[in-house]
Amino acid sequence: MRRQKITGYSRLFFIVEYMKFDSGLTSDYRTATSNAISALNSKNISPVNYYTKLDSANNVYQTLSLGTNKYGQYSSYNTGSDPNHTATRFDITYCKMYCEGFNKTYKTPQSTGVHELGHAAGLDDLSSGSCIMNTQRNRESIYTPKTDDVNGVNASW
Amino acid sequence: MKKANYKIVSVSLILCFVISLTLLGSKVITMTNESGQSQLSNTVQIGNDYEEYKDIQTMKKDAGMVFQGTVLKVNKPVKLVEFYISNDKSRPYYAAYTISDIQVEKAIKGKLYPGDIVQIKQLGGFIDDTTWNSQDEPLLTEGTQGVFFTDPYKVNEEYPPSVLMFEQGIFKINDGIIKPNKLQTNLTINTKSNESSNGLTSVKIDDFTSALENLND
Repeated sequence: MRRQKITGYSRLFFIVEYMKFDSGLTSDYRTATSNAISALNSKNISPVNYYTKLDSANNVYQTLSLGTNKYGQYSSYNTGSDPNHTATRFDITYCKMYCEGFNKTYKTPQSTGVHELGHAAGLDDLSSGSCIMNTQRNRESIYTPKTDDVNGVNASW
Repeated sequence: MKKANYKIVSVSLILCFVISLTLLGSKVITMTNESGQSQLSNTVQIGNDYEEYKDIQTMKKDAGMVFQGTVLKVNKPVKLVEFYISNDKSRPYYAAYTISDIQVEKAIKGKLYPGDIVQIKQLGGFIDDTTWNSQDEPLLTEGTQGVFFTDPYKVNEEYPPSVLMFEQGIFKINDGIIKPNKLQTNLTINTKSNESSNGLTSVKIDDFTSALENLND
């Protein structure tokens, strides 16, 4: 499991990741993100915990498209010479064009939500494996963190 | 006794220092620029959740343009709208893009002719004291030769197109040979020098472009 970056607000020995739903985020994406947060928090991914907070600087957006075959995006803003360990805030964006459509249910945007929050927890993309960070996963069947994802986060802290 | 006190004080000081660092939650390291001034290095890291292509025929079908060419110039980065939040034109979300000028040598798809200059944009670059970095898309360099697939989706019609599926859409040529990158090895295509259906291996450029031309759009 490759490690990527560490973001968040450190409180001694655990990290709290707050985020806020953008005013334009529709109810299906709010639900998808809430489900993604619950899925991650229930996995005992020590020491990362996610919450929503109205005044958070971290945003959850949606848009029509980010380009062909793109489901979502994670952008982290860092200050310091070590971008992997100094994120000051992040944005998550859902792409409606690919999160919705034929044979897709609420699981696809939830899968994207968990994937992007996995980045916020310090994980990088993978191209294989039965895990949420595999960009080639079936999003309708993998929409919660798997053992490899949990091990990856725990190993990075 | 005195020694023991010194030890306790030293250990306490070290502990205080470590706890202070932890409470701060992030470390900020200063860098020095060319003029000797101390400055902070700001970075924006971009990662995507995307689905790679499995075969080149679908890539060609989805692409706006496909052509063989050489990167003549890599321009200074500019800030462009990456997307509109909730599709609201009054809420642009900006990102830094680097635009490259590529001279067409062989047109495979699109209204292009040899000698044309095509611009493509890639997310990333240094602008306004900030380095923008796409984890999925290394920036092109001048002199790079390749076969380029462009993404037909544009947030603004006046912008140059992006590359289709990051580095999967750029087949770099070295000494007349295409050696696939990590996103391209699973692609299937049959050419004279690459008969395997198990995935793309090194292939001669002429065989590759001939095979591409024979694929339906």
